[in-house]
Amino acid sequence: MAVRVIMPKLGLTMTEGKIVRWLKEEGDPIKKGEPLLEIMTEKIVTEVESPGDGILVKILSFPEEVVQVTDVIAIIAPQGENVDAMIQEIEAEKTSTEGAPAPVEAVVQEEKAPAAVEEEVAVAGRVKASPLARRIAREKGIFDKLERIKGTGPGGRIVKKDVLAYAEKEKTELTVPATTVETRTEPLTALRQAIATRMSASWQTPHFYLETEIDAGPLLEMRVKINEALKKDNLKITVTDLLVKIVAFVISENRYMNASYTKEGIVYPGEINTGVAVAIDEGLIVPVVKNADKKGIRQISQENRGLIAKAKENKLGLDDITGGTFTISNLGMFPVDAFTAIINPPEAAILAIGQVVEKPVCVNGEIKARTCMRITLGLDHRAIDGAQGARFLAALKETLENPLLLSL
Amino acid sequence: MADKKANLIVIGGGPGGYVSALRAAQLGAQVSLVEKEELGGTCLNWGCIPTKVFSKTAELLQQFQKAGKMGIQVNEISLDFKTVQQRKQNVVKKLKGGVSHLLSSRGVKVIQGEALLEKPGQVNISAGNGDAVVLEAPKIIVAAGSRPMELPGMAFDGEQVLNSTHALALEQVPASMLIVGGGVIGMEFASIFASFGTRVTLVEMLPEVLPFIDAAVSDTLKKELAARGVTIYTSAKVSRLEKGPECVKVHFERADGSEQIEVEKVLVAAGRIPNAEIGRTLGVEKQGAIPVNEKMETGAAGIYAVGDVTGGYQLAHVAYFEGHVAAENALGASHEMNYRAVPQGIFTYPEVAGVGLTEEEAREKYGSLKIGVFPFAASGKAMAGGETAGFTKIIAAEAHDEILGVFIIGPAATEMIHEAALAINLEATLEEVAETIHAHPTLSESLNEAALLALGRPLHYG
Repeated sequence: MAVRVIMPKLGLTMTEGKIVRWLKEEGDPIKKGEPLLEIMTEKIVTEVESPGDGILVKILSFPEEVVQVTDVIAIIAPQGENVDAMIQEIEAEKTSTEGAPAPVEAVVQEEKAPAAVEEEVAVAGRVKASPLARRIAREKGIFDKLERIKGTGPGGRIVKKDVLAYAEKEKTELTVPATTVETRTEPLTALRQAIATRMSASWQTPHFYLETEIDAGPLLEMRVKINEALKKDNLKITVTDLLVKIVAFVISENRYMNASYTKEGIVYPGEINTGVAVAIDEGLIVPVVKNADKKGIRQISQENRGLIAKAKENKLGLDDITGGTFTISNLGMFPVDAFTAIINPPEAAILAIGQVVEKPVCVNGEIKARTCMRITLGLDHRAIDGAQGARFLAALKETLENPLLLSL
Repeated sequence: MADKKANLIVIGGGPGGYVSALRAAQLGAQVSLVEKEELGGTCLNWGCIPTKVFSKTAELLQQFQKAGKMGIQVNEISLDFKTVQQRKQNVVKKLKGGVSHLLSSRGVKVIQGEALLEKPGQVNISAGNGDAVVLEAPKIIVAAGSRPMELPGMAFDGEQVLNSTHALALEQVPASMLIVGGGVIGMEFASIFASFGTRVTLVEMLPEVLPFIDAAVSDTLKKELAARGVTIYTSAKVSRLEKGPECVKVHFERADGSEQIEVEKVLVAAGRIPNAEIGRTLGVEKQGAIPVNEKMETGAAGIYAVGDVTGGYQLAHVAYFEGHVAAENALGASHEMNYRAVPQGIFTYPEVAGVGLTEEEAREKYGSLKIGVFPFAASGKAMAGGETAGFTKIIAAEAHDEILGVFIIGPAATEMIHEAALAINLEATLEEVAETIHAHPTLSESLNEAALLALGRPLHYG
């Protein structure tokens, strides 16, 4: 009995997914539960397991294609079973939903796509090189670079002189320090593409920024005291943990900051979900602490730590990174005084945190040493106006400088 | 006669010329081919093919000598040279008919006559009957071939002083023959006529015969021929011929003094010179040849040259490939000749074949070598066949086990060399040849064993 593989719905908000790559080729046998393909939703690449046993007889959606949740993307069937009827049925379903003029093109595209993909795989998978060229490459320690070598033999085959020329070039490059690094193009990863798409979209948002400097002394003092208290449990909170809590608290007092501009109207979500931008090797990701206004600092800290760990290991689930209503981006660990962050849509605000600096400050006519921190609030002017932003910033400054207000 | 136009004119109907014409016609060109003598050129009429008829007869005669040992009683062995010549004519005629048919079936227009190159894009042809034809084509391929070289004081008379063409046309087997030159032609004729019963003396100017063949191989061949009564003098130079009514007295100089010998025939096999005069008017002739680049282009635009006339390899099979490349380039392609692996066969008894560098050349170029020599005396197939003379020698660079050359002397050597040619052309190393399963019992196993020997892990020998 043939099984239809569908685009799975991996989270409450997921409506579509993009095919990243197939881990099996048409004709490969597959067992239920074996990884079948990778899809991308939001910024997360997830492995999809096979829903059944058999042969992957037909792939219907190809890398880069965006597919609606529950649409059929492949067919798995027992060896020998004819699935032509099923394919026709699936295509008919597609046709009827897509409208009349589309099908011819759609069918043509589907017929062409597999050939192109197979060709790419063939090129990437097999390097044509003579036995002598391989042997020399192995002996010179550049066997893994064979595919970078341009072959001049029959049919582009890599021959001895190509490997020697490459080795010679590499040697020259290594021995002459003045040689500049070769320009290279890093292919876009799925995550990088997602970042690019979202940041470009966000750039359309009319941003404005409000900046202030706070006295970070009380906040840092509070952190020291809490950490002393948590020592017995072998726990430690970070400035970011405190910021998440305080920001959520101030938002709860100023709900207009929890906003999202849509064509239908400005949505004010019921939950206050604070995202924290995290740098990972591949780029940037924003895990979300849900309902931070209602959680204690200890819990927020634990959640944050868990999310960051998952982010670094690429194990975040879709629900970990969706549903945010406000983002905090902290570059305070670097010598960055202040910066203007780009809003993470569909949110309407983002808070950028600069480094803590000890500097002279005039207090009542006297110069005093203070630990200062600059915070910059980025706002979507379609949803929030200047005065609202300024009021929020004032409230935030007050709470950050008097964190005891949290206990009110 | 009216002027005629074509896309391509090929001058010469030998291997280089007729292949150029066939390939160009195959690509859709209108091709005219001019031949002054016979289609098939030297190879088919006065070279490779007739010589192979002779060498096969010679080989059979050698094998009949061993008939008794093989359990066949043969009372009398005698050579009917007339039949040999007749068979030669038949083979040549049949093959020539084949070339002619191929050309006509592809629509190549064959014009009999002598071609002259007066200006680019034009070929003047003088036919035997005094008619002149002017042919025009944007592209011309010169495949004018070569001719036997005459030596001073040894002009060919066709009676007593012969070239290879004369030798192939003899009506009777001479009682004695002195061959001047120990190259391929000289050695093949020495082997053939020795088998036919001629007392053969060979005089070579250089210290070695077959200088482009690995020394171990040419030494073995010299010994094999000596055992059959061929006297070979190296580092010797013919100084004078004294023609008498019945025989020719040949004076030659050796390091230890001068000698003389009386023979019925003198065969001058001192090499072949390109028929390059045709290129003089257009300035494409240089030092007796029409040199070309790897695309077979001469110094003049639109004029290509292939085969012996270029002064390169004098081998029909190289001319075939050059013709192929020239025809394609003349019609717009940009291909280059690949001379990486050019096999060569010498149809002596035993046969000799080689491809790539000799040990000496390889050592000079690559330094340390790995060498494997497998004698046919250790081969089951050779023993069963009663022909155990010779060996297969593989020469590889110590670095990367790169195969540089393979030389074979022994039965079927000229057939076996192609595995080595393929290995060298594909840049195989000793490992690939050693890893390839060779059928048993065959003579071809010798290459596999030689590779194992070179790698220091022989199985059946050493």
